[in-house]
Amino acid sequence: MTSKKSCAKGTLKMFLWTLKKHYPIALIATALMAIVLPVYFYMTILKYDQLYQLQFKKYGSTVGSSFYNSQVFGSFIMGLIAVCVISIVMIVIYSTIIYGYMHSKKSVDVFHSLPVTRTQLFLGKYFGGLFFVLVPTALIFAVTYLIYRFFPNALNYLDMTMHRVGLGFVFFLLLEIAAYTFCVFFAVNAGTKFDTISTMLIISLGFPLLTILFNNFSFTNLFGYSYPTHISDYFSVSPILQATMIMTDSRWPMHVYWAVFTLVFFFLSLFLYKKRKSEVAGRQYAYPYLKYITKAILSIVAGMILGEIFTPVGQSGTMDIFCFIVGSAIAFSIAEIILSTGF
Amino acid sequence: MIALDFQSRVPIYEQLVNGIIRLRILGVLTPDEQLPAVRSLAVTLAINPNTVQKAYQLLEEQQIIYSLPGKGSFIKPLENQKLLEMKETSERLKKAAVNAFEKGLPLGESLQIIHEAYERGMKYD
Amino acid sequence: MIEVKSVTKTFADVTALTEMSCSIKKGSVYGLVGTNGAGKSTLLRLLSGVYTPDRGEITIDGEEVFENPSVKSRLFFLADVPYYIHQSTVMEMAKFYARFYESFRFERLQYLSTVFPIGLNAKFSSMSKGMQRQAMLMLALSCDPDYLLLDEAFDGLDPVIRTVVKKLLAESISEKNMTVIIASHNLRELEDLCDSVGLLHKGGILFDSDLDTLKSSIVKVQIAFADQSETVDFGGIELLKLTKQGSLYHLVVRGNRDEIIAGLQAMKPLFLEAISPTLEEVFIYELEVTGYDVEKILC
Repeated sequence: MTSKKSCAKGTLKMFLWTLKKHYPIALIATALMAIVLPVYFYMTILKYDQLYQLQFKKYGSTVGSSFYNSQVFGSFIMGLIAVCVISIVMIVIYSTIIYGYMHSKKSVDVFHSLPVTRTQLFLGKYFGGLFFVLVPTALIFAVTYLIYRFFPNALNYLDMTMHRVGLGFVFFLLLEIAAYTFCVFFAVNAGTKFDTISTMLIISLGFPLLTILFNNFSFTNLFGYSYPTHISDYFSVSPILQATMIMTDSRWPMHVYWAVFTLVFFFLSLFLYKKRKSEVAGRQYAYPYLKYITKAILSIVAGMILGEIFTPVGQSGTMDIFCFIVGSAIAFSIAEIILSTGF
Repeated sequence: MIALDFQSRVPIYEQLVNGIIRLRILGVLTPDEQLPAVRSLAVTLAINPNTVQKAYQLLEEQQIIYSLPGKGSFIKPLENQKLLEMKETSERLKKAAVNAFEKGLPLGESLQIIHEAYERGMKYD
Repeated sequence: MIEVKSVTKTFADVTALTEMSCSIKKGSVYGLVGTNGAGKSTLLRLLSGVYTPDRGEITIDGEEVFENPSVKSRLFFLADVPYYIHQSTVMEMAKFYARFYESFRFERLQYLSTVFPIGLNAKFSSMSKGMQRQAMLMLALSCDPDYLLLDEAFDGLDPVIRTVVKKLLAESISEKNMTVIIASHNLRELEDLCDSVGLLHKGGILFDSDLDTLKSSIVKVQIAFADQSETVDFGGIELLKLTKQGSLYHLVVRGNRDEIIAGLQAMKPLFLEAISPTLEEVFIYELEVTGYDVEKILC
């Protein structure tokens, strides 16, 4: 029986080593996000301020002029999206490289013969990755706050308060933790790095697509069924996508949802990790159930898309169904080939 | 100290035992002289310490050496059965050689017989 | 003391070990022999806690190995193809192991870098496979384990380094009773170093014993008689093999050597010669007796 103290010690060892091993890439990502982007924002807002002052001088008033319909707004939004996208890409990268040792027999031999328990191994790596994920976000907020101190008008232009920005960041942090945990779950289930990323992308993009398509598919009208259209519901299985829509939905029930989501996937990952046998390293899929779900989603989505493409507008349901079946069959075969060779 | 033949069919521990006995008979190892520790002999010869241990145990059983706990192993000063037998054999060989000479057996022939006997005998070991 | 009790291990389509049992005494050098796929590597991974047995149990000094850091901190597993972290140097891998193995000593590593021709700042990626193995051995010995598990780690080492390694092992074995388990194809190599051997075949142990006992339990005899017309009856001795070349009989006999020689001499032969078998010969004879096609078993 390991005491709590030695359990923490082992976890700490693994955590520190994870930090040491992967800090170069984290440093680059952090530099990009935490320094470059806020600077970019600052320049954008500065530019708007110039325009604003110019307009005031020229016309004597700034009525009708708003940041949101100015020419710099586009760049501003690009910056915002860039932050989210970089963040998500880094989450996918961290979870894949930190848990990547499981995908090769040679590295599994070393890590699983080390005098640490599986739990310590999992937790140490998990918290290491989480550190990399959260620190840049915290830094961005810190730098943004500094910009606000030096340039208070920025928030007025955006019609925002520091309080709301703060809440937004907290929600984004929560989404990052959820997305990271979600990605770790895939890493634990996969047998190779290719599997990790392919299943992650297929399910994250596929499930929302599925719900959107299902909603639009005339098939549903056959039975008079309508699907709830609130956009966040489409992403409720993919924190990855939700995180890119950071401004859209931060109602408190979603906070609870994502918190529960994180906990569920955390414990699921821990459980599957401990159960996972060393011998599956390098083999495709540690747990085959994911393979079936992935293929199913891929086939159905592809089938629906092909069904949509090939059905002329206004046609009845039979043609749709036929195209759907054909499309799914083709997609399933292609998926079978791609996923089994795993280029 | 002792040259080992790794190609030989004779087990290493036996080679060690025989080697130490030979050195004893020749007088290279003197009574109460300390033998190297198991560890240092194993390291010097690059062999398994258990093999050295086995050889030392056999030597002790055969009354060639004795050991003092915490100090090591030493050559036994008393004459023992095997040494006496070897001395006796030596004498008998001398007598047989004299006999062979007197009966006119060529030297080459005598040496050949001894050679063959040793070759066969070493394989026996 | 390592105890393997009735261990079965199956992978998706293959059963690697079937109800295999053996025990390895502390301080011994145990040679694990068998063909590729006989289960040697699987056994080593079971012993180091990488795999867990489907049935049966594996204990070291009475404690199960799997998920047991206190036991695992005293053992070091060296795979046949060593793993090193991407772009790392020997020193960096040393620091990696030092984090997790409390018994790791940098002084020992410094000393070993004078004995092996490997620099501490050398990159693994720029080393040949043999040098990588040497470097990993340096790291393994620096961890000062009580149990050293080597998967064909001697293959690919030049003779000079082999002697160096034997000396280092001799030191650790006699100083702290380190137990070494070596899996290898090379019986010639194991013969010099091991005091016990176990032959794995088709997932089970064919035999497992003290090396000297094994070798002295079989005698190879060449014997010829004056009267060459008669067929000789060697009744009373356990014959493993009997062939005749001209007037010379070649026998392989199991039993006590002195008794066998005495018995054969009583038959008044013209010529009698007895020699001990090598380890390889012991295995071949035993396997032939049990009916296995030797060509398929030993490479």
